[in-house]
Amino acid sequence: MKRTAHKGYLLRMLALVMTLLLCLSTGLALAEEEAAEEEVVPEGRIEVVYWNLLGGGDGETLKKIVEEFNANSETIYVRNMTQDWGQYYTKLRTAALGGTSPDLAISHADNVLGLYEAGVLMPIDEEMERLGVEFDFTQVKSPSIEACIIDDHYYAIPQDILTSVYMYNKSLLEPLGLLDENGYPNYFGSLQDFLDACKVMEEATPDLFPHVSYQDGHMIGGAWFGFYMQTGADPDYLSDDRMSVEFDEEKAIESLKYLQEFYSVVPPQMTNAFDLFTEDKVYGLMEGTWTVATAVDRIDNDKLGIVPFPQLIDDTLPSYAVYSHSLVLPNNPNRDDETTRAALEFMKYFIEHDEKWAEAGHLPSYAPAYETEFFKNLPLREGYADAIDTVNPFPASPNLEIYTATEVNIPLEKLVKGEMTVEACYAEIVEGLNSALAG
Amino acid sequence: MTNTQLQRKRANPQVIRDNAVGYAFILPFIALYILFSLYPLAHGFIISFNKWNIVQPMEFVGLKNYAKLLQDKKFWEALGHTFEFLIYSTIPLMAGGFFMAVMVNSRYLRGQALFRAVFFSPQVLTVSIISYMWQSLLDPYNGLINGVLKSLGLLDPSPKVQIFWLSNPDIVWWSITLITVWWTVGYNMIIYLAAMQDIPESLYESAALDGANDRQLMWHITFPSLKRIHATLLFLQIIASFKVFGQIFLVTSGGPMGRTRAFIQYIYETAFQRFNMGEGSAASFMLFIIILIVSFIQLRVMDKAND
Repeated sequence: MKRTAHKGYLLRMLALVMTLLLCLSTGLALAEEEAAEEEVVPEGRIEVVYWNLLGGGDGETLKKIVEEFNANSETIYVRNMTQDWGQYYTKLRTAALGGTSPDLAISHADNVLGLYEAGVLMPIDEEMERLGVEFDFTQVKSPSIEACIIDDHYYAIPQDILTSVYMYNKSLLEPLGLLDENGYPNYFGSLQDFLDACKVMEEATPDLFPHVSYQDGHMIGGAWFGFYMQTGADPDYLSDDRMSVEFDEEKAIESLKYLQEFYSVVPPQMTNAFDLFTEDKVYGLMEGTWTVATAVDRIDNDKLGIVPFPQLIDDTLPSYAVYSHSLVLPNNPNRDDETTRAALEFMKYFIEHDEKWAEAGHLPSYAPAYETEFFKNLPLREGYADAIDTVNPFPASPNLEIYTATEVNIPLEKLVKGEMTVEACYAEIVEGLNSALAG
Repeated sequence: MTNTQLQRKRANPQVIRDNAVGYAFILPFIALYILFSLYPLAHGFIISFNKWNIVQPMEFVGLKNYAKLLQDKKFWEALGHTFEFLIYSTIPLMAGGFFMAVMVNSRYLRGQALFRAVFFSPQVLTVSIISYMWQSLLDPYNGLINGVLKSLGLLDPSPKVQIFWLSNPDIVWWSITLITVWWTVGYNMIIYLAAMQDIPESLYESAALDGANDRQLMWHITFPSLKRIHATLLFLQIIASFKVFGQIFLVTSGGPMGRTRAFIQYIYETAFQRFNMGEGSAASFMLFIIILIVSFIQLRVMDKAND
């Protein structure tokens, strides 16, 4: 008995020691890996610390651009640092508070006004002029540019056009006669045409899904905003002081009805609609431009089609919201002019080579990028390049990012899921936004 | 003890030296505790009376933040959701822990150590891993659970017919409770098991000699002998329920339609997404007061029950 107890004790001690050794070796290995990955700034170069919040395909594309710049520049080295998406803006603000802002950062265009009001940003055009960096701002064509100009100064430069596109499966649609001679959907003449086409798809293949759109989050918010603009309403529905809403009530309610009809063909919440689309189980899918690069990689490009979000009510008016990633110059009293100039030089390089960023799936913000061979050779871009003319930014407010506002997106979700009437949805949106905008 | 004896006790250099050494050992902890716990707590309380967006100077607003919260429909909804989670999860977590401990402690069960390890093992996983795992399992169109139900003929095979575990507002709380119980019930099991093994064997022997069966032994000896453990775990469970955040935020993001947005998520969104640090702090202290009141009531009720 004593020997057994002793043996049991020895075994437990051995297990404990081995576990500790495993933990220690893992920790050492990770530390070694981290040390190996630690970037070393080449001698004689000015380091520019650049914060971004991009992962996935966006992150990979950005990494390529930065590596190419660093390989070709003899005077500047950009340290590309990806921050956690959820904590990004908190970190940017607290860094500004502590005087440790990065030299360059990304901001969604909708956040620029809020960051400006918080004193986090510097005017880019003013700094470029002061430090002798030449850049033609008139070539920046993203509609989001309006959100970046405050008090007649540029506080951000949009680097892309982020919006929603309609991806469709040609191999499923063609046998039903739902594509035109150019391979584009022929059912976007009106909302009723779209709904009728979905009915045809449903009857032909009951087990497949005619159309999927996200029923929550900023995607549904963008869709409603699109329908609101399609009614001819002024996209800027905020008061002059940006503290309350001034909707055209009649048009807002009309647009909610359109949204409700549009979503009547959407199946209940799919969290993996994209995966089902790649498995040929979905005819058409509303997705962000940020998934285009992944779609192009995973789906046979002969089968995949991409067009802008359709203008189902009025083909002369915008049909969806646009958000943009933008480059900003954070305020940092500890940064010297040499580093600021280097940051601006990289900013200029990035925007002037915007076609390279378009590889991630977004449309370029810089007009000349559309004419480059590189952009023209990117797969499937010709289908949705026109989106630049069919989108409009959300109205900007310093107190609220409207595109993620739950005051809008949750009532919309309730509406399309049949939990709320159109009138109640409108009332809840107005009440919620007025409260949130007041700060 | 006489006054002289007391004076000698107090003035004894050895006693003073001993205490000084003890205080010296705990001084680093005290210093860090003050710096990283008490100071932020006090500072947070001050922030709750101010309007502050992190970057710009604070602006004193008195009780305005508290008043605004009390008028905010989302504040009350979030509080209600937290109570919902408390009601849904407390009994399964406690009963589950108790019955698992009974099972693992049973003389009839072979491989007790294995079962103990299996029941406890989810507890060592991080919230992000279990959330991602269960989100995949409960996915309506591609998830394992619906897939198994369909293959067993318990669910219509059509891809359009699914159980929406996480997006049906009528069942989402059951799903979250399932995830939470699976993840954390092992902790309660361990506590109950340790206490069960302290119950004198003689009680069971006497009762068995008097003809008591296993069920009677459990209800009349085991269960009542663990009265204090029930009270302690209930106390801890209620506090933990008020602080629930991670698994809900990662699995449903507070949806569908905001139906599972718990109070901590409301605080997080107010402070770190809207940069209303004043309101966020005020909400935190209101939660603190609510937990304090609930805990006080609970302790009083438990004390009366013990009497």
